[in-house]
Amino acid sequence: MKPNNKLLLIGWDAADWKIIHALIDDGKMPAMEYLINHGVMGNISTIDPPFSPMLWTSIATGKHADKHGILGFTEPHPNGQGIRPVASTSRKVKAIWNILMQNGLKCHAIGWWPSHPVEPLNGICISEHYHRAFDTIDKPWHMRKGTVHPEHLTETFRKLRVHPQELTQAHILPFIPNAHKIDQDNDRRLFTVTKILAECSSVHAAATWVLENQQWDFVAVYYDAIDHFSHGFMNYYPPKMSIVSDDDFDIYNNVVIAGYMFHDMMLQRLIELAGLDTTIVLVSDHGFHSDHLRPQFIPDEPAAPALQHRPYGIICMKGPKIKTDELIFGASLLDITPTILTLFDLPVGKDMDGKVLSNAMKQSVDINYIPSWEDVQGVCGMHSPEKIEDPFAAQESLKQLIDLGYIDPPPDNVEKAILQSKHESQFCLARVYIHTQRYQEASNILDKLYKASPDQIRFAIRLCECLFELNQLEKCKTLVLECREKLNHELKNLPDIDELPDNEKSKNIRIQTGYAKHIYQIDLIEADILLKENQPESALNMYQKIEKQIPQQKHLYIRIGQSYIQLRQYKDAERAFVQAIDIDGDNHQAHHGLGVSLLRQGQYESAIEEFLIAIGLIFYYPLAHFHMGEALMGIHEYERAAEAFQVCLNIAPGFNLARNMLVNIYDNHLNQPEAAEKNRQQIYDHTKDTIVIVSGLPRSGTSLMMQMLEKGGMDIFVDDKRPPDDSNPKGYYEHEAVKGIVYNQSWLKDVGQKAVKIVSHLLFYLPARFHYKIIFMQRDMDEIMFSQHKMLVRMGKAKKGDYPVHLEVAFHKKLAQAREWMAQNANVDVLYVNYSDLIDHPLQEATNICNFLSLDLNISRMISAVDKQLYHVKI
Amino acid sequence: MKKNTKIQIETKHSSRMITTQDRKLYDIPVEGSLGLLALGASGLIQWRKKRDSQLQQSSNYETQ
Repeated sequence: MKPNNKLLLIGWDAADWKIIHALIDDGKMPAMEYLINHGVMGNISTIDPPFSPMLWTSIATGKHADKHGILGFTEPHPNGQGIRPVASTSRKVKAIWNILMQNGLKCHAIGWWPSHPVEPLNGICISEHYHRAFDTIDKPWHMRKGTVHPEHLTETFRKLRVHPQELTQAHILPFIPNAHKIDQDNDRRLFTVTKILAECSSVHAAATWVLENQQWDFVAVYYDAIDHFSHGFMNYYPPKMSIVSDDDFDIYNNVVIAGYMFHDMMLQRLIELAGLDTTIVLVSDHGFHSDHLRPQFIPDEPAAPALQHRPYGIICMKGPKIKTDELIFGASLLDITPTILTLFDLPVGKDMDGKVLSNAMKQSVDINYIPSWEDVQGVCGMHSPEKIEDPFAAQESLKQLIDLGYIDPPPDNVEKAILQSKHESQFCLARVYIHTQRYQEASNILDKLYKASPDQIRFAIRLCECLFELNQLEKCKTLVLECREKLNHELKNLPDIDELPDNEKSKNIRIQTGYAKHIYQIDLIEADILLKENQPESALNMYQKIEKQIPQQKHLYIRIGQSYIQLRQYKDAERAFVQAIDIDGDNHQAHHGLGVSLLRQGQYESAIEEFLIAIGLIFYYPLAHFHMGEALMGIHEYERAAEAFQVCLNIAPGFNLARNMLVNIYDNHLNQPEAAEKNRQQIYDHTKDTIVIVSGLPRSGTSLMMQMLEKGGMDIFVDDKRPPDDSNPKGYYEHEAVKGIVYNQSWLKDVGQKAVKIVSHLLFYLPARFHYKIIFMQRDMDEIMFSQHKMLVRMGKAKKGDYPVHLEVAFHKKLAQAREWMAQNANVDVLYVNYSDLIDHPLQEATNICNFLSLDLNISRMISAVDKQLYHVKI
Repeated sequence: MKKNTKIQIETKHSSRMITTQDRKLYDIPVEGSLGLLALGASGLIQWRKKRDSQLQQSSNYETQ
């Protein structure tokens, strides 16, 4: 045994700081308080979909579900005759206990979800079916095969199970002091409490037995009771919800509180048994709404109770290598396995999606990596390869045998259940892809799912989200319309709730809640499309219309705020974000948005406060750090601003806008030219591609330059939507997407090696992730103004002689801003080309252009584009 | 529920005794307690022992 390097991983499903903090303040969770005071604590952000078997497998593997293979709650039984709870044999990759075992450490895993059938570890493995009692106490309580490893300990653990009917009032009254008021013939909730309590006592008894009686280096134990208490009784947690009766509140208001306190008592025991030198990691997979954000009704759809989950769970760590009494930021479920590996001085798999929580460690750690633990051979306690199987593939192969007539098909209802299970798991996979921004993969799955189940609006809505992100807006609009028609049809056919018998009311309320949620979602998508299509006013109108129908929605206020920011109406944006915060004070986007609104109004100190809150909630939020840097610059705190930009870059190394700010700070404020140069160099290292841009004011010769480049042999990024006319007889060389660059820059990745024309007013919106070579056309301002005027007259938009002198000043100002922007951004190289020089000395200018672009263009052909006849308006 | 359950297991052997924090022997209630469940395997075993012996005594008394 290695006394100084043991680790106990405790999982508390759905544990939430909001409740824990309140109880600690009342002195009701002393063990938790001890852990916090002697270690680190923080939020842990969950991942989507927030379904526990997927999440706990991600915690144990450091990987998203598309890699680990656990996709939801159920899967087809490989024998093709039904469905079953997800099984450990469906996990495709090594769990942390497998990796540690492979490295000679003694590992035990108790109750992890999913862990049935148990894996042949070098320690004890007890599956998540261990503690479930399905019958009364007078009947035999069988234990399923595959529940305990090693099998010879089955009898030992069988005796450590607690049956719900074993419990007495001494156990129940702390949860329900008014239990005597319950009519148990009609109210099963008391039994539910005893069942949950008995089950977690069983798991705890097994875990403590292992800690007391076995050698160990690593123990993982999972408790599901907080989640179960919360789903069953959070509606009765104070303050009373309007939908809860006084009697119910009176009886059940203490269940959740007592559940947490009991977990604290169990934690106390685990801490004692683990010993002082052991590292303890306590995590939850998500939180649970316990306040006004508790949903009143849950829609009638699979896994809908997950809507009660809060996106932040808890993480708490204590141990010899862990800092004491500190907050950690930015933890994700995916970080647990890489962090544990590092605590055991083992390398992290590069194929893991999480990172090491090095900010929790006392000393800076050298993090080592290997390509993948999956390739490392050796006994690791996983199931034998023949046992590991993809249940969906097994199902497919069975189907083929059924189709061929070798096997009888299952009964219709079983077949339907199998199909539904398959669809749900595919839906989970699509959600994983959406969460990891792989929209095309998600879209492919959702498209098939929706075709197979056109009544499932939730598939269509997720598909809309993907189409939106993929900029397939027309397809998205069509689908939104289709959803709306279907929903309207369903709503028309809904029965009147008041006329239904009592036993049907609840289900119908849930169905209606589901429809209302879907309508809200498609309304939002429709408005989002308007915003993306550069119609912020229309989007705003639509958001406000939605608000009238469904007020008090934080996501709505956040979008309203974002629209106002796009419209540069910062006071209004501020108001909207405050409304979002009033609804949910823990929403990082709302605090960030409020910060930006205040920043743009010059209220730097207040903006910084908001950014700090946003960062406290989600540390890995590069935009919040960036804007904090901007706000710090506003109060001339340049060193702190540089730190903020640096943190932003640590999280997002390709965020060149932040690097540009650093170059500016080091050059102009901190007098550190070397640091500026270093960052300038890094901009080149981190820019993806170089995009060639032809820019300048309209009528400054930009089209001519595009023609020259095209003739010289360069591809050009145009869509020919604007045909040639008298003002530009050879064409405008424009692309429609450029006009929308303020709101949508995604098309830039399609530009590739082509040259694109972007008027000088729009240069500011170029994202810093690319490097730009800008050929900037300059022309005498009077000539430009005169040429523009002539063009407007031709178009019938101005009267001849009605010359807009005042615009000259504005154009001069804009040009100066563009020059300043180009000078400040290290990812921008610029070549100024004087239009008259180009006309008079085309050879010289064409040569300069080729040198600037480092391209071997055909100069004589370039020159041929210059037609002095077209130089109409020389003044 | 009491604010803090201060009972603990004294040894790790089969003759284990449950004591309070001030080292006094803890009188295990027949009906059990959350504190005993929170002690895990040891608390559960000790509680059942007490409960079953009490039941045995009652049963013996009734048959006498």
